[in-house]
Amino acid sequence: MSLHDRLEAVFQDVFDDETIVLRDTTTASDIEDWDSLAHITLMYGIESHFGIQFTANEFAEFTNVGDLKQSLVDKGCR
Amino acid sequence: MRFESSDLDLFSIASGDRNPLHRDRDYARRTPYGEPVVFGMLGAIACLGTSQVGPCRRLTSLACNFRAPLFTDTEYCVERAVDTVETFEARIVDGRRIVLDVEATFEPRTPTPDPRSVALEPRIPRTEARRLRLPDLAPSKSVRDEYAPSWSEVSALTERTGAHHTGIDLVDVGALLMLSYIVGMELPGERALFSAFRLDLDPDRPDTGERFGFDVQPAAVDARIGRATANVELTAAGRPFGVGELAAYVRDDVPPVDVSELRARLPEEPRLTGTRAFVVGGSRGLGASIVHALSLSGCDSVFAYEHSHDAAELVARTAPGPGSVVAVRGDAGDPEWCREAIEDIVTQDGGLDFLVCNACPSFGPLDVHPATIDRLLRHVSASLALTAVPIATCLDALAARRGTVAVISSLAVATPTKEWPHYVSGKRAIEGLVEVAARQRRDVAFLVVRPPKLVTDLMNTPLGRIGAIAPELIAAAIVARFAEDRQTEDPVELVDTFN
Repeated sequence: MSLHDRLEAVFQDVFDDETIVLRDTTTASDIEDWDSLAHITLMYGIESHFGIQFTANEFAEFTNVGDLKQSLVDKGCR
Repeated sequence: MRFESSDLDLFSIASGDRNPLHRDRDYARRTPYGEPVVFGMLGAIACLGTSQVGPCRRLTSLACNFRAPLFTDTEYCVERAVDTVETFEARIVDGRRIVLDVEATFEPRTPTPDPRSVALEPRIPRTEARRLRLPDLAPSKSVRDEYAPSWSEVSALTERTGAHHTGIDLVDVGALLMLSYIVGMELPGERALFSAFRLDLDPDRPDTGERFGFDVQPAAVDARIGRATANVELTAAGRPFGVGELAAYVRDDVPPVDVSELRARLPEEPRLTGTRAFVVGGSRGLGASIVHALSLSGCDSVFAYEHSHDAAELVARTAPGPGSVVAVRGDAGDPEWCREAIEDIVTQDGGLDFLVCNACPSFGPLDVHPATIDRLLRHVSASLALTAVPIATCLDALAARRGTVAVISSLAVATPTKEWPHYVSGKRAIEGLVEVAARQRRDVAFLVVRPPKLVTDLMNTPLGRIGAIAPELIAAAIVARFAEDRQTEDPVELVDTFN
């Protein structure tokens, strides 16, 4: 399973929506239920799944899924 | 579903939760919410009160997420996803936005006497909320005490919320009030934003109003977003009857104006000596920084504030000089008040060089939806009035001295924030007004300032603070720009980069 697929599975789990398809350009605007609390749950979910920890800035802000994936790659995730 | 301020009073008396976020209008104005927030647990109980589960069932577990603040005098809807004799899953929505969600499970039971018949005096350990910070929440800082809600008010609350028709009995409501008390008054207390809890209840627990007790143990903190969790054990007459986990965000204080930072960013010699400014919204945050930056630069300023009297007095009293600072209280969006205020400034002080429009109504996340459109329109109207009225009123006085208008917009105009349709619309309306006013009046200079997220009361939320910059940086940039004699081709100068 690729990093993209694993990340997509986390999104689908957090938002309880198996139809979510991630693209590198996907942002919070593209997922209806992606509000502040959902964002925190999502970040915790990603940290737990990949066994990493984001910095405060990473936790709060990333431009799109592509940036998030790059951040995961930088942390050694595959 | 709708909450009145009397519901907050009732809940507070019943629970002993006197957290000022829910009770003190002036205190709430200094938070990002701008007005008292409905106790999250009141929302949860009211949501449970819509359950069709009758009193022959007994609550065995409850989990709740407080996703966004609830406010009084606002119409909310409850969406029940599952409502069976065993399970209840529902959420309160504002438009389409989920504000709160609950999941409850039930087991059968035999209805028992009403614990209102038990004579038990309230026991509220603390009448003033503790003010713990995140570092204070070490696992060793557990809190243990006895507790009894005010049962007659618990009864009234249970009826008010409709919970008395459901599998939530008076003792259950009392236990939930205890959780609200623990978070709002004890751990962490005043700085709490109760965000979630899970509670498992012993089906064989006593169902009369025994003296409660609680033992709360801090479990973990996440300093990145100011989130703390704690484990809790509830007892009745000394016997455990419930265990659970509580989660809360712990709000940090917004620091006062850092004059030394302003001093470091402004020219050493005051460059605005002999000038006068009117600042709309100067009691807190960016406005207070601008007022002090003007003072440091030698500009005499008058600033308007509407509610934050203590904060305004502090800003005026601590003005660093040499420029003087005077606070005036009123609604700058009211044309009559604004006209009189400007007349006073122009006639008494001899003219006006700068107008800074910084005031903005407080706001929370909002959905674009028929249920919220009134609030959206009110915000846009109030936001526009707080800029349009002062500009219209001051233009002649400013033109007489070739003055400058600085309007505080937001980076959200260029990069709209999904949850702020009202804020973005209001700021865009303001920028549109400035664009036209600047073309009508070439004898006045116009600046539109688009700051990024700032460390202010408005942004003092778990995610809002992350990456926010100090308002002093923006204030110094604006005031330094006032001191420049810069001619520009464009009728409006956009200020959106800050070093």
